[in-house]
Amino acid sequence: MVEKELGLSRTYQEQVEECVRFIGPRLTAPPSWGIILGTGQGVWAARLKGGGGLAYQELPHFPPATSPSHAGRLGWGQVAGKEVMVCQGRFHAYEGYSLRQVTFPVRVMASLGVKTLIVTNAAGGLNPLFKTGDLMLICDHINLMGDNPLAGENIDAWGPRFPDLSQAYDRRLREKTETVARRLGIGLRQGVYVAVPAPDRRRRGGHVHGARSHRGGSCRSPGPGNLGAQQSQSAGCHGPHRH
Amino acid sequence: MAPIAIETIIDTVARAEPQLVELLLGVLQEDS
Repeated sequence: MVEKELGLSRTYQEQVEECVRFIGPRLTAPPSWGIILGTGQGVWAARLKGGGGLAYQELPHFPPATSPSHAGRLGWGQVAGKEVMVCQGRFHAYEGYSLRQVTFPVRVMASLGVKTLIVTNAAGGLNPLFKTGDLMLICDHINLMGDNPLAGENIDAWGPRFPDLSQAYDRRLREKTETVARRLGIGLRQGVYVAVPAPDRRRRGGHVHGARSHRGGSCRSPGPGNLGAQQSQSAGCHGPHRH
Repeated sequence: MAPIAIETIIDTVARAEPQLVELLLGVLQEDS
């Protein structure tokens, strides 16, 4: 209510649009794929061909990435013949950011043309069968953060008030990922991501076992549906870590 | 259960990242 009274939603939209106007002219082609890299993951930047990039602090309204091993750079270019935009480093609620700030890059990428979003991160494993270093494909998430990036005044131009999150992680893309993993001989777990707000690096997790969850972490905002309203796809892919 | 240092997490990720990159590259290549 306060946000609505202060008109902050409109300001948020304007901030996204200003950032899009800043980045757009610098692109050689609109991106169709977006990748958000998590802790310690930075190889993708070297894969981008014929593009460019900017540090987050150069981008209008982008918060700085303060978490260790998050480079804080937005890159773009071609990978495997696809126009790809890559966020090297993300924002976390535990850094003090609101979930609207956390998802700011997602809004910007969607406005620039991204239709498919891949989000990677390191997270603790709650499933006792998982081993340190396992890759896990996210099938769904459970939001235990006590907040939601879709809360607040709805911006109709970005999607409906109540987007369908029953298929937040696109089935076709997940099946394709499974197929590729089998072909390449890469072991791939599947599971549900449990989002918690704190920067927990230790968690016994028994209380979320009851929810049949497999990974717990604070690395991703639980709102991939941000893009879903624009008929886009998202597939989370968890990096390895167990605690 | 002891806290886990961020360096440990980063090391673990670094060891597994080649497979993650290979997997994502494969997905991008197969998407039509």
